[in-house]
Amino acid sequence: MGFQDDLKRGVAVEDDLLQRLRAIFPNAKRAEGLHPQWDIEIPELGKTVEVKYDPMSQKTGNIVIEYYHNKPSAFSISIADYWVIVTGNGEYWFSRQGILECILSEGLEPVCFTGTTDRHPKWVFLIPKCVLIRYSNAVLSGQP
Amino acid sequence: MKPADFNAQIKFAAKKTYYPQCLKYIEDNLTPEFHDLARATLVYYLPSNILDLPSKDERRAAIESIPHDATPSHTRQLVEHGVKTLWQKERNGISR
Repeated sequence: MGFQDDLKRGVAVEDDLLQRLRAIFPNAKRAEGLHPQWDIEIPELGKTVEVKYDPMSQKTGNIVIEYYHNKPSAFSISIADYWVIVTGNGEYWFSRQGILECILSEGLEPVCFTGTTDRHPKWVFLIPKCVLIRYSNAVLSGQP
Repeated sequence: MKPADFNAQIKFAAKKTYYPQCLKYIEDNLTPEFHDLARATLVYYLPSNILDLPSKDERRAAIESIPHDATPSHTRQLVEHGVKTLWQKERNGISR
């Protein structure tokens, strides 16, 4: 799957979540423009959400938390209150602090890899899904 | 540089505990193309070293040695959250 396909799938996942949020919070909206600090804002709660689509986790068992991709990225720059990780067979909600707590408490070390559609290597934490979900706020339809 | 070597260098840097000294270690021991990455990675190694300091005042001083405008942005906030999280776990009897 190429970069454009990845992007389309990611946008579709965000759209799906946004529609579900709007059923409860009608003012929920997508971040406008290039806005890496969050993806969705819920004005009714004063909260923001980062959405990550990680279908490879179904094969590898690991969730990728990226923090550097040629420059500080994702976890390094997002200030979203909640991170929603969608794996294709589950949806996991975390606070940003929950993910940080997992990384620190489990003594995880960063790893470096270059994805098939990446020009630059990315630095990430590969967190076993069964470990990360211990730090989650909510699991929707997920399997460890 | 191999990732394992890079991680080892950042662990050494984090042992300096106080942010300016951590940065000095990075600048003295890593080539410039790694400095940005090193600063972004330091965030994950600093909290446990700060928590190992013997007094609350020293821990507070170590956190306050991180400028509010350190890069990546939110560096100080992430480190502070990290120290508090680990401290809370230790207090509850859950070891690192």
